[in-house]
Amino acid sequence: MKSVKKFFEKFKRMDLFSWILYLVVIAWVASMIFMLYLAFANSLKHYYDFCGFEESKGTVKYVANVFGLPRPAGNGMFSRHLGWQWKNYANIFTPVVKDFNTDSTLDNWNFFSEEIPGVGYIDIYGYYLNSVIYAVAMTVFSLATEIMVAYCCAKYDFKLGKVYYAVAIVVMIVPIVGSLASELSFANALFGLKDNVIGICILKCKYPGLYFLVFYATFKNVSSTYMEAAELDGAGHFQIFWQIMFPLIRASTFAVFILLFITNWNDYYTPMVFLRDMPVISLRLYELQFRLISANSMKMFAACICSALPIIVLFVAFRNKIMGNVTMGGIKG
Amino acid sequence: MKEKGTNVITRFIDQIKWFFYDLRVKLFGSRKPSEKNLANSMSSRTRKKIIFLFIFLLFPTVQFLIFYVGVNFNSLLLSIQEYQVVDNRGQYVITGFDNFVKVFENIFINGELLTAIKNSAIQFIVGLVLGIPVHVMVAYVVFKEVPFGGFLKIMLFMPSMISSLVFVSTFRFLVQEGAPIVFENELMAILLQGRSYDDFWLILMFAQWMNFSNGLIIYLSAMCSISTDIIEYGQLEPMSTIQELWYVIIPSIFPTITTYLVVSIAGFFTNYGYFVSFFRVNTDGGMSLGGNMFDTLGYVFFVGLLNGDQGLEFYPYASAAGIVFTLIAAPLTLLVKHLLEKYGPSED
Repeated sequence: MKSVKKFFEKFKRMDLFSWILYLVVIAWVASMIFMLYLAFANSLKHYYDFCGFEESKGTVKYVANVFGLPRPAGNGMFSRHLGWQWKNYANIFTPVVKDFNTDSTLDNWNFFSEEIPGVGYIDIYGYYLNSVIYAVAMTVFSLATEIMVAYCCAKYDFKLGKVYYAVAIVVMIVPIVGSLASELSFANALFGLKDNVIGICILKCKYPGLYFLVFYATFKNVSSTYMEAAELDGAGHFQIFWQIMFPLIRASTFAVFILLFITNWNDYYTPMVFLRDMPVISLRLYELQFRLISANSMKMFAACICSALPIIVLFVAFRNKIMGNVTMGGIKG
Repeated sequence: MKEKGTNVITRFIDQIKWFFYDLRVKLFGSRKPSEKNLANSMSSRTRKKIIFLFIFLLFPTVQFLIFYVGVNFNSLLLSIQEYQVVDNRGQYVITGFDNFVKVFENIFINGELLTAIKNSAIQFIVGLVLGIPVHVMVAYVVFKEVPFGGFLKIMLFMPSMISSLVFVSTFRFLVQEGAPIVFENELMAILLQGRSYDDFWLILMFAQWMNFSNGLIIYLSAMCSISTDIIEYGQLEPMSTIQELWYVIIPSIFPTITTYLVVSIAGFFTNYGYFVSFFRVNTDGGMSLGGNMFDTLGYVFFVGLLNGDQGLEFYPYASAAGIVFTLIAAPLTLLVKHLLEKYGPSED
């Protein structure tokens, strides 16, 4: 009862400007829900349902079903294909990869699989695996470099520490534009890092960045008394970091890990440029949308949902940790 | 029971230890280390600290030197080179400042880059004028603890969580398949085919929709860090919401807005928005979709560099252009930062 009262009090406190802002946000959220609904509803349709062929009294008429849920199946030539098409998902998850050249039956063809020259066929499990490897490796490398430098700068008083901090700020503020060409030539010729996931992680994990500042602030907020006490007890520097300081910032680290993992999971620019032999799921989606034939549009939506599902689950499961810890523990400090 | 007994014994032993320690201090005073021992222990501690710092900073330093400093130095070298094929083998040969001349020619003489500059400017201004106020206000709505605030917060995070491709595919579908039905206009189906300048504006508006809650974490954390005294003072005055936003919130988070603005200036030259997502980048050497009617500077160079073997010829030109843009962007960024800090609202 008290919470209901509190809920209505929130409305009472709002003035005209608040209402306008609130309604704008509500409208945007509604459009976002509509987009997600559209993707999900269409992922469960047959193409005939979507493009709207329907028999009525012996004649075929055109009734497009773009925004609605899948229509129930009937007995007619077209309507027997209607109904909830969970097989759009099943097709993507079919583990047997059929070679389109030897088995050209469209129904048996795994829509999502692809032949990579020199690598062979990759199906969705392969893409998931590549995405997990890529996202975890990129995240771990970035986190490690940022945490290491942030810890040294925040907790040790040495002249170079200030230089590292200043460099991070300068790199963030003063832009250097158009170094992609040089980065590509480094990755291609000089270091042979292209198409090598660890190589790309090394190439991309420079320490100056937003999360360096987050960790710097987080370490600064942790009292140095813990370090001093441990030092008096005879603990070494590595021991202090690993057993005392790192566990103290575990919550922020976890939140940043999840955020970076999500960013890397969705990233298709870097794999498109540097990792052609190890395509990730987001890159496959990117390329698929340009090679799509209309009949496969519905499966494309299913593929989109499949690629986003792990991230949605991750976000919903850890939303409080992500929003609370980065917001309060990091940047604020 | 057994555990309780062990605890009693441990406590008893501790008490005996403390008793003898106390006795020793009372009789002989606390043990002072000799100067030599102290110096040794200090140098050992310093040595250990240096070793620790060296090990911890080695990888990040080498990585930064090679892949940031080295890469940018290589950009300088590339900008004065040209890709030539000699005996069926491609190599970069130093040719002087031809690439820089070409960049200036493409801007001022033949105007090849003018469309890209114009589009980049439109994209930047729309993002700035429409974007930043919207982002601040959205964060403010969440900050004010409005009804269903928790749910709104989750939904506002969605564009940062779910791959943009999900939204790009759905939006394309909505425009090409849904809009012609709703508006009973078959011509709408040609939108987003990369043939008309309308597509540029459509994608720009889509980008604004996608970026609606950009910077939510940053602005929200900045608002959360405002002292509750200031907020409560504002509530006692009494202030309307718009007054609170203008006189309390914005001045308090202005350093964050400044940082956001300053960091986004380079985006003028590098931002390819959602154009790459909507129009395929051809990495096999063919023409990428999109023509040049909605090129932005970021898009032109990104597409050019990935254009198969032709991309190799493009590296030196792209590097030269990058240097020219850096020479414009860097002082501009510092100037904007200086002006915002000097003339922007202050917390006082």
